[in-house]
Amino acid sequence: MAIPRTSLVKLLPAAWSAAGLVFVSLVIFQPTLAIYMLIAGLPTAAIFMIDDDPEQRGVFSVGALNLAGTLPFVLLGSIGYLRQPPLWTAAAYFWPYAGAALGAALYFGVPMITRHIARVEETREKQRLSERQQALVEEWGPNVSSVQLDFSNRDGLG
Amino acid sequence: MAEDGEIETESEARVVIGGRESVALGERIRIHPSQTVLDMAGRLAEAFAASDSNMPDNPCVALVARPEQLPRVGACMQLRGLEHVGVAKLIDAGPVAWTDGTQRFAMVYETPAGPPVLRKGKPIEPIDPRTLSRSFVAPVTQALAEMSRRGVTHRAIRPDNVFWYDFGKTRLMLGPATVGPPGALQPVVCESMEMAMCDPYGKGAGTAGDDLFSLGVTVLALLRGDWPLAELSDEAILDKRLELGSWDALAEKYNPPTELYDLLRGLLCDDPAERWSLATVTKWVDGTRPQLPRFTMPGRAREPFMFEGKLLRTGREIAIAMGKNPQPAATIMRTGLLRDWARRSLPDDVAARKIDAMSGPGSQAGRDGDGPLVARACMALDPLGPIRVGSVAVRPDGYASALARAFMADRANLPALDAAIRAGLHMDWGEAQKAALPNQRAARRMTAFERLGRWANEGSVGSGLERCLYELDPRMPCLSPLCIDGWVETAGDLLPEIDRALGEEAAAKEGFDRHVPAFLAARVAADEASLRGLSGGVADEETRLAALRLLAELQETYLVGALPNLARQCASLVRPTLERYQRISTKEYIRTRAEAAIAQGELRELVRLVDDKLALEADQKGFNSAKTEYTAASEKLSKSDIVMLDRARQATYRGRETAVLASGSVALALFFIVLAMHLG
Repeated sequence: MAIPRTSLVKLLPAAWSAAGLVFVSLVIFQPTLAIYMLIAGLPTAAIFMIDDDPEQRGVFSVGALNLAGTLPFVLLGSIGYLRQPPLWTAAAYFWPYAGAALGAALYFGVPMITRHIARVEETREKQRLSERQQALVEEWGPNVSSVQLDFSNRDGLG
Repeated sequence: MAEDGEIETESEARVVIGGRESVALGERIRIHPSQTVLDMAGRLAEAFAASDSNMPDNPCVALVARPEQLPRVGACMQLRGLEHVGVAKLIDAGPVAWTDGTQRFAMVYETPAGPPVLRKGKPIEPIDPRTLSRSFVAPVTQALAEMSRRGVTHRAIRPDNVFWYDFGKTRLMLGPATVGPPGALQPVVCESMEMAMCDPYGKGAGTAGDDLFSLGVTVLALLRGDWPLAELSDEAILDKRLELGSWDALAEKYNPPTELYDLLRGLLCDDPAERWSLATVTKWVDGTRPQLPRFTMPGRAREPFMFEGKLLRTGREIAIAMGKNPQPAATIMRTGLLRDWARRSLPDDVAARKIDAMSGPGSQAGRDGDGPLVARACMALDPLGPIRVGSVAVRPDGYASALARAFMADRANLPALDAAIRAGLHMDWGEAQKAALPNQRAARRMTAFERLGRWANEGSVGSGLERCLYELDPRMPCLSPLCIDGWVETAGDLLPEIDRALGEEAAAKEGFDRHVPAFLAARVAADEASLRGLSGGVADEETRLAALRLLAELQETYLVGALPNLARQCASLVRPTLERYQRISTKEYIRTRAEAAIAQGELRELVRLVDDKLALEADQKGFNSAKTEYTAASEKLSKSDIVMLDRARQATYRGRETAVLASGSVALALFFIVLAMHLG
C-alpha cells in the first residue's frame, strides 16, 4: 500500500517546475484561470499550513482531490470550451472544494478508524493476557505468579 | 459368640462347644480353658484339656504359657510330630487367641496315663530295676537319640516330668520338653554341674550330655522311690556335690542294683568329657558293657583361699563364691590377693598364669570394668562354668532366654548381661570351652555369637541388647510393650499389633520402643535409615519416608490387611510431598487418594503417592512453563501503555498512508467524472 516515496521524491522538483511553468503560462495567457486556480486551491494552501505530517500526506490527500476538482475546469477553460469562465462559475468552485473536503475527511478520518481498531485490538490482547494469568493462578496456585512459595496448606492433608 | 454351639469363623477362633467356650489352635485342635489339668500345670504354663478333631478318642492336654513366660518355640517346631514311646508326643503348637483377649502360646501334647510318677515330697514304691531299664531307659535313650538327630535337647528330664505311657503301666515316658526355656524348671539336683551353676533362665539348650546326667538322676530317684536330696536347699545340694562329687552326693548310702549300677556311674559323672554319651548308653541298652568313666575330683589347692569368710579349695568353689560376690572379688583381683594365692597354691598352672595376667591395677582384663574382670577370672578358675558377671550366671547359648526374662520380668539383670555382651565375655568363654572340651559341640558353636558385641556396642537404632535377643533366637517373639498382649513372631505379625497399639492414645504418644526396630532389623534385615524413622523423635523427611517404605513393603510381603492407625501416623509424611506438587488439581487428586489410603490403612498406596517421581517431574515441568508464561504475560501487560502508544502511532501512520492512496484513487476518478460532466 505504501507509495514508492523515492520515485515521488525524485519527481517532485520536476513536478513543481512543470506546475510552476504551467501556472506562469496561465498568469501570462489566461490570468482569470490563474486567479481561479488560486481561489480553488485555497484548501490545499490551508492544509499545507496546518499539516504536521513530516511527509505532508495531508497536502497530498487534500491537494490531490482539490486539484482533481480544479483541473477539469482549468483544462476546459483554457481551450475555451466553457460558456462562462470558471472564475465566475459556482460549479467550478463546488468540485474543488468538495474534493478538498473529501480529501480532508479521508486524511483525518482513516487514521482515526485505524487507531480505534488498534485500541480495540490492544484492549482485547490485555484482556486475554489477564484472563490467561488468572487461569494459570487457578491451575497452579499463587506460587506461579512469584518466586515466593505458598505454604497455606501446611497444616494438614485435608 | 455363638450360643448354639456352632463354630464361628472369626480370626480369634474362640468357639463354643457344648455350651463351654473353647479356643482353637489350627483347624484340628480345640482347647477347653474351663477344664484345667492340674497334674500337668506348672510354674511356666497352665494345663487345660484339649481335643483333636482328627483323633477324637485320644485325649490331649494343652500347656498354655503363662503371661510373661516364653516357651521353647524353636524346639516346638522341631519336635512337632515326633512320635516316640519314650517322650510325650507334641501334636501341635502355636499362638492362640486366649479368653482374656491376649494371645498366648499353646503346646498340645497327648495326655499321659496319669500324674507324674514321682513328685518331691511324695515318695513312691521303688520301681523295679529291670522294668526301669526296659521300660524307661531304653525308650528314652532312643527318643533322645532321635531328638539329637533333629538338633534339639530335652532339658526337662526330672522325676516329676516322667509319666506312665499307658494305663497298664508297661512303659514310662518323658513329659513335655518345650514348656519354658531349656532347663528353666530343672532343679539343681537334676542338673549337671555346669548347668546347676547357671541361673534357671540362662542355661541355654545345653547338650545331650546334660540330658543324660538328668536321666541318671531321674533313674536313681525312681529306683529309690524318693526325690534325691529332697531335704537340702539348692545351695546346700551344690555345695555337697562340689565337695563329694555328684555320684557320692546323690547316691549317698544307697547301693544301686547291679543291673543299673554301670548306667548310673556312667551318667552321674561330673566330668562331661568322661560322662557316657548317647552312643554309649545306646550300647549299654543293647547289652554291651561300656567302660566306666574315670572319676576324678578337681585338683584341690595346697592351702585354702579365704574369701568372704569361707575357706575354698578348688577353682570352681572360688569361681562360684566370686560370682556371687562381685565387688569383693574385684578387690582381690585388683589388689593381687588372688594372684598371690594362685601362685602359691593353685595346682592348675594354666589357671594360675591367667589369674596372674589379669591381676593388678590397669590389667588388660580389667579394661571393661569390674564385672567382666571378675567374670574372666572365674572363667580361668572354672572354664566349664557359666559366665559370672554381676549377679548373673549364664551360658552364651542361654543369653536369649536370659535377655528375654530380663526384659519381661527382671530388668535388674540387664546391666550385667549388657556388660557381659559388650565385653565379649562369650568369646572368652568359647575359648575357655575349646581348651577344656576340644571335642564338644557347644564349644564349636561360638561363631554364632561373634557379632553380638558389635550389636551391643553400636548406638544406632536397631542395635543394643534387643537386637542381640532377636538375633540369638530366630523364633523369639517381639517383646515390645506395643504388642504385649499379642504373639508377634514375624514382621508380618508385628504390623497389626503396632497398628492396634497406636489406636490407643497413650501408646501413640510414646511411639515405637527399641524392641520394634531391633526386631525388624533381625527379622527382615531392615536398613538403619528406615529403622531410625521408626524410633520416633526428630527425624528428617527422608528417614521417615524410609520407615514408611519399610512398613509398606512389609504390609505387601506379609499380606497384612488394613493398618489405619499406622497410616494415620504416616500421614504427615505425605504432607511434604503434597507441598512439592504445584498443580492444584494434582494436589487435590493426591490429597484425595492419600485420604482414601489412610482411611483404608493402605501404606503401599501412600508410598506409591510419595514415590511417584514421574508425576512430580511432570508437575515441576508444567509449573516452570506456567511460571514462564505468567511472567511473559506480566511483562506484556506492564508494557501495554507503551505498546498502545506505539500501535496508535503505527495506526495513524497506516491510516494516513491509506488516506493518501485513497485520495489519489478518488482524485483520478473525480477528475474524469468532472471532466465528463462538463464535456457533455
